[in-house]
Amino acid sequence: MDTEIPELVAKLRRLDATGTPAAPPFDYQGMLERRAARNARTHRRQTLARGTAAALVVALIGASFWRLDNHGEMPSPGSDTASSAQVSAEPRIVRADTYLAVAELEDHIASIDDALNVARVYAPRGAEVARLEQTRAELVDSYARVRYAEMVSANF
Amino acid sequence: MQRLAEIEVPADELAAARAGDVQARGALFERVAPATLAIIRRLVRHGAMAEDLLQDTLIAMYEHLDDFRGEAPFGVWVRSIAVSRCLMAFRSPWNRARVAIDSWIEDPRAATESDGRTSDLIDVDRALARLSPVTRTVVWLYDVEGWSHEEIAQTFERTVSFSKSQLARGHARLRTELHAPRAMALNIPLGSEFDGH
Repeated sequence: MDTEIPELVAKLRRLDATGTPAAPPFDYQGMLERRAARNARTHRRQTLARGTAAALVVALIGASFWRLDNHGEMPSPGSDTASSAQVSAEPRIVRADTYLAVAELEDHIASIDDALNVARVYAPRGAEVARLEQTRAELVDSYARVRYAEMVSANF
Repeated sequence: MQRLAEIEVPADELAAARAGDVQARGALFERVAPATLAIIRRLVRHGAMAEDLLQDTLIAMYEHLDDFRGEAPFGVWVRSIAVSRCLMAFRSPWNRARVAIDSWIEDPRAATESDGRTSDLIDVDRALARLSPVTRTVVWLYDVEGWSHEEIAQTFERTVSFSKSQLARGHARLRTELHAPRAMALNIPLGSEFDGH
């Protein structure tokens, strides 16, 4: 069995040596265009994620205050059952689901972390690292806001 | 085709590329892109993903040209970027799911080309395609690219034992594949990624 490994290695090296040239499907200009298109897509996704997070924060805080106001109105002893039935029949926002926003933000933060790891290998104090750290800080800030809004909402 | 690790770049061309000269950057692309795509395809075995990784690798190369110290051939430096990018792709849950799904949909044998190679090399290529991406990368880096276990462990951010066990596993599975009957029923990649060790 031991003699098989050198044979296998030799075959792998022959496989490498006989490989056909791989022609890239784009040239230098094409690569820059592909990159620009991808950056635009990423920017749109980030904008959407931040917008969604901000809208959810506003909605959750609004819902929390709305519920707080409703709890503040103490029912008078003489209030009749008809009015209480009318109030209970009104629609209420109990909880807006933040799962998608949180998941998207976590994905973005993870991808930025990956990019940061690579950037730090090449240039620990470079402009790219600073830019990525700035982006990460903004995403973490959005993430913290959503989490805070969830906590506020849960406590009311 | 010249191997990526053997590619050298003249100092004047490199200096012009560093200065942002578009022609020099285009020439640099022509010089390294085919060999870079070849090694990425060898590790990733997925056409669209390989093209995305080629783009990522070359963009990173241009962005970090100033960091290249010239201590090794230029191609060796580009190869380390390409391998690093491939490993990042392997760690991505989205890419792992894509590879897993494609392994059921596509026949890995379709990705192998019978471009005048002898049948034993075609068999090796098919067997290699059936390894998991991580195991295949370790086998290729150690056996063909000549990396040491220490270098592989450092790149994977794992232990030397991880590299050795993946290599042993890869060899065992390649031997099994090469001795197995030709008509394999399933196309499931063998082994799993980052599965301990």
